[in-house]
Amino acid sequence: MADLVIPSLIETVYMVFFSTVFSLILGFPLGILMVVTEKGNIWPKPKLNQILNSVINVLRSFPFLILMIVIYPLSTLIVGKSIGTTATIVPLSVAAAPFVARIIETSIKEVDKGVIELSLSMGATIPQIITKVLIPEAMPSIVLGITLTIINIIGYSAMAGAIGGGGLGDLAIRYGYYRFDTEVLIVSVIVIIIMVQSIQYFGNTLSAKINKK
Amino acid sequence: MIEIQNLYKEFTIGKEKLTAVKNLNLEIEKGEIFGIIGLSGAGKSTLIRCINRLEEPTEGKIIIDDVDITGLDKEALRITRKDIGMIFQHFNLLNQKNVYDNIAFSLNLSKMDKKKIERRVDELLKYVGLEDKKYAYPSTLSGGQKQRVAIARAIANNPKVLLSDEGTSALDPQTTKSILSLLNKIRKEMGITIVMITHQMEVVKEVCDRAAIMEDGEIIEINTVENLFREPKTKTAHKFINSMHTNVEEEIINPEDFKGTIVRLSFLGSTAKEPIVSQVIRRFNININILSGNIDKLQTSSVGHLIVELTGDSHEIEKSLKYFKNQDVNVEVI
Repeated sequence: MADLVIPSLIETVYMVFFSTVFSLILGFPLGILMVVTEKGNIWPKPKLNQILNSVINVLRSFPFLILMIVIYPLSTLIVGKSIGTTATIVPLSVAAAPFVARIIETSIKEVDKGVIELSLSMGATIPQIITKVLIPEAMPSIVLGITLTIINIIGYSAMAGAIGGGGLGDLAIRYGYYRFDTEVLIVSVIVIIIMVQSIQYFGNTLSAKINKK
Repeated sequence: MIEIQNLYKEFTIGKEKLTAVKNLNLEIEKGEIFGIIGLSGAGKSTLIRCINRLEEPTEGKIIIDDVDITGLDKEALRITRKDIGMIFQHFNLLNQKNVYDNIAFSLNLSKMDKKKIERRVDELLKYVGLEDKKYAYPSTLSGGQKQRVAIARAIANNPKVLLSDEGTSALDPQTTKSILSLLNKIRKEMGITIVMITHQMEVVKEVCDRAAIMEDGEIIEINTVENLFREPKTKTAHKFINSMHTNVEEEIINPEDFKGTIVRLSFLGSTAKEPIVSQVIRRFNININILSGNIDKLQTSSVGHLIVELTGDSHEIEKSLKYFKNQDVNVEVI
């Protein structure tokens, strides 16, 4: 059992970790851009805001399985193949990026308008407001958002497993579903549950710890 | 120091246009504490926010120290704003940063040397009396302490002007007094010109040199605080002064309930020390019945108010009123 579950667990962790990193790299700036380009905000660009908004909505409305298939060519281009754990990181990141953008957008919007006004009154530049005010003030909320993202990606990764991505989802389907090996199915599910629980717990604890409000 | 010329500010809400500030002209002297008082919706907050262009004026000019603020481009405005500190009703502290980092905020923005920042922040902490709160977070501070942090932050860059947008409105009376005396100290020791927006006459009375009363986007009365208290010209000014006294006399004292003439006498500084009322009783054949009285302590002097009923021959009453006026007492028949 362990020789089946442990490699799959490592695959899942690997996929989820890198997908989280890449989706943050893609989604984080997008989320911030969504806030600051809004009308009446510090860098109003209503047209750009509208375009970004539409792109995020379109990407988010793709069912993940379809997105994965659509993105096969991109995976081939980036990692040289379209199947396997590494290749799956590409569609996972692309699928999670707009989600991250929305999460970050919501967190940043929670920052009190008063402190933005204060920063402006002190002659802060737009990059200074973003890095010294918006992100630090929203950090506890951002941590919770990233926690949510990781858990979401774990869910997606299980689906990705079904079409050749590897990981715990793949294991559960291959053994549990196709071969009626209920034990493997149950163990895989339990491992996923433990993963999700501990990530949520860790995220909540960290957010509470850094929150000084 | 600060010159506001023909300032207009219009807001468009949906299809409706709202003029928050109408053709406003104002001059504020260097080193002065200038109060702008008005009810909510009078446009005072919009006015003060136009001074550092947090609100863009629709028309008109704002000149600070010979620099036309309204003519600056974005980058020049950003740099000029470092010379204009501002404090707010709700303090606007960074909740995730401690007191030290909050005060260091503007210095950090200017990329000042870390050691220099530390020295300056320590100096400021001492100045506002919060040395023991250096590493505390805003959520653990009282309202008064929060505003002290905000003040320290606002003056960290040695600005020429400090704007206070209802800076004491969220504080209790005692804390308000201590914050006002801190502002007064700053003005005296650093020579910073302070412009305060408020709806509390106590604030004006306590600390301002001059004040303007705003209503419907316009300044309806402007005077030194002494004169404002002594002879308020507009109804709004009266109301503000009365609102400070626990008994709003004019509501309680109905002239129709009395046989004699009801008069409000206002004494300023030196006249308050003369026994004018007893002189009048001796000189003229009238009786004086005191209905209410109080004293407003101002920055440098005090204004006493008496509401009295005068009874007797109408000629004598008229003569006595003239006598009061000759003694520099402000007389107002209610």
